[in-house]
Amino acid sequence: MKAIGLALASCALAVLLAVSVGSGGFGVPDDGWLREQRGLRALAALLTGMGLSLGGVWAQALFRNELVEPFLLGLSGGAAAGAVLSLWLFPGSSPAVGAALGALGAALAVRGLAWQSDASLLLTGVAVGSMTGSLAGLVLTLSAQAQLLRPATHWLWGGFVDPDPQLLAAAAASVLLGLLATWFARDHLDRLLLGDDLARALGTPVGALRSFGFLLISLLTAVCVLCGGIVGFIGLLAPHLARRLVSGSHATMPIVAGLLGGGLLVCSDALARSVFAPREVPTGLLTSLCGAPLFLLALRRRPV
Amino acid sequence: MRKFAISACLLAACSTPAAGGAVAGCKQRLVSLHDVTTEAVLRYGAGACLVGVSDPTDLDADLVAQLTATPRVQSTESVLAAKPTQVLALAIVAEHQPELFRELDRRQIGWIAPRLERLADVAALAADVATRSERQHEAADWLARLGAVRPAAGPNRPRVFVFDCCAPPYTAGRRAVLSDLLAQAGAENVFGDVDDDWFHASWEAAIERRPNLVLIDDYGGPADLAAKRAALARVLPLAELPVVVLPLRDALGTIRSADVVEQLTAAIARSRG
Amino acid sequence: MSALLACRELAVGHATHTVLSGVSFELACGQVLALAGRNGSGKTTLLRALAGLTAPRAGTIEWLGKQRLPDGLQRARSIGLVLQHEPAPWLRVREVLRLGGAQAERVAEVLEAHRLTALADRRVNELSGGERQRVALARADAARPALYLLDEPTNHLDMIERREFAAWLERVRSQAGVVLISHSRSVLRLAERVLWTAGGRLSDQPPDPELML
Repeated sequence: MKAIGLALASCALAVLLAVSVGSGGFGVPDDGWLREQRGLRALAALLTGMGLSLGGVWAQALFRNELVEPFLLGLSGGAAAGAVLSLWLFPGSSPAVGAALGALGAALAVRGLAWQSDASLLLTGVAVGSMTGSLAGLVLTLSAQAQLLRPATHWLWGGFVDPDPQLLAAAAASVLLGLLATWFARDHLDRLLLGDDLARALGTPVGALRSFGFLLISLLTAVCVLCGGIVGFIGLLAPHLARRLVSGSHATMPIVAGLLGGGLLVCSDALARSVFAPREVPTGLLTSLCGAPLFLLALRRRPV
Repeated sequence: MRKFAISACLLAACSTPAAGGAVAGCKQRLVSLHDVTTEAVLRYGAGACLVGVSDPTDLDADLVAQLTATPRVQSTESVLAAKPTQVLALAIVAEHQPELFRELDRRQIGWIAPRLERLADVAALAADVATRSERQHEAADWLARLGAVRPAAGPNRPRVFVFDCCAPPYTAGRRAVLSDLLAQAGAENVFGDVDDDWFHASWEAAIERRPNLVLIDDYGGPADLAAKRAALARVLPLAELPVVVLPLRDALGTIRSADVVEQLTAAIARSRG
Repeated sequence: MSALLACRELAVGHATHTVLSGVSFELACGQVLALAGRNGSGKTTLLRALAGLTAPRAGTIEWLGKQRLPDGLQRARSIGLVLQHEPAPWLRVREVLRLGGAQAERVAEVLEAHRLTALADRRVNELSGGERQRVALARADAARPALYLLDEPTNHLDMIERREFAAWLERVRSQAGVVLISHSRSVLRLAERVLWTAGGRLSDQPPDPELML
């Protein structure tokens, strides 16, 4: 409980920081629209961080591997391809829907192509991700329209500019579903860590859990991509940090992971629009810069 | 049999179109690797001297129509295969393909790839293209118009936010030609102090700089402009500002920049009227 | 009363071939049955079938007269399974013992019984091989199953820990039945009956007389 309280407090602090920091320096702006935008961005970042963290929790449990994150399952390549194709075919439109569909499509392809073993699923995910990512790169390189590059480039690195309240509602619903699903499946996820055989022997419906888990990861990732583009590393980092703060059991760890991931992304977004002012850099670039030192610190404290 | 084969090869070689040879009516074999230089060559009437051109993206349709028979080049190999005597480009091309320009130096092939940051740079480029394409006479009017542009004076210079695309907004800094075009038109780019050509700013920064006019770069097509207007409308502090639309090809420095400055001056005056 | 475990003309194997056939035996509460034989002769395959993890290629298995193991946590109370190679999760020992549905009091009791109290808050993936084996046994024990299925339960255990295993087995057999696989003579001697794999079948006689216990 202490850890959840601590994570919640960190998250609240991050949101407060995000609302108070901007390109003009430190301070809550007078302009109502700016205040609202900062709040919406913080909310978007929080929900996306929570969603990706929960996706990471499930991915690491399903594969019993601390190095797995949702985007490793081919979803980031699919999202990139979807976004770029959408920009190419419908210039001027937001790449978000195309990206989400691309992520889901990649997930379906991976699921359909390989389910014999964890290793084959991961490898297929890597292959599909590489292929779709290359497709995105190819379209960008060969496209005669240089302006296609600009929205794609910034978007592919992740960011929360101009958040859509309806999308945020969808994200909130997905995160809530994710949290509830994780809570109800917490013992099954723990048992899965003992291996499929022992999990079955302890009464866990392994096949159904895996199918549901994969679907949940795909849904959470697609919604997060809709909200914030491709923000890597959070799904890998947040469960790690949480595991080292509390324990590996899925009773409290997922909530802590969600709060840590959300808080980290909120901070990254605030920094993205203020540190290099008047420039705004993609949030995803800063996530790794901010998150990696924390990760290394956690690794030192408790090696894998 | 051997003699026959050799003869056949010689005949084939002689029949090959004069690769590297002169083009009728031209003393130079020109390759243009940017729309700005391509436009200059075409408007100077030296289109027939083009032996290679990069895929046009921002040219007027009537100019593109003149390029239907012109081979497309881009890679170092394809450029050198065209056997140019002059290569015309901008700095951005040289940055992406340094090996091409090193090879051009090695082969002593003339080239230009200037960076366009001010109207004066555009005028210099226009003159250089005229010289290299040997169309000084045809270029005279264009060069005169460019030379005649004088910055509009007066107080209350409108503060313009340039919105090219995207979220966060892609905008022009000090080193983008558009900033100087705006200055010549009597306006001020709100990000004119930023030492960059084009970059992504934040909406917050744009609002903080208190523009009173927005200039949208139009990429062409109804969807693009509509999407950009819609994006602006969502940024409440900027939503009510008057908007001036400039086709993207006019936002780059071209030999028509004198006309662009005139159009900008008129459009800004109308929007404030 | 139904036998705890009953096999009739059971055949087990992999996708393409049978490794053991004609397996028939019954196990009652209080009995310990050992499986012995060469590596790769089908002992683990048989154990997995007895745990309900794979379907037999022929024949039947009944657990307390039923041809199907219960679902959910009831399954953990029906069979306590220890595999030869178990992943080492990043869970704490205490958390692992809870996985079969054991409450805090029972977990404390099992920790004490298996001398794991000092390791209760350590993560399993940080323990030694012997410690992990003891955790695996404790985990199977925590749900108080009616049937224990143990694959090489004394792997990585030192001499003292093997003695403790023997004592534990003695305690457990009073309320459960045990099927175990082992290569160790001392462990095989703990069983009432030893079935040897040979030529794709099970036999009470070892394939080599020198192996007689």
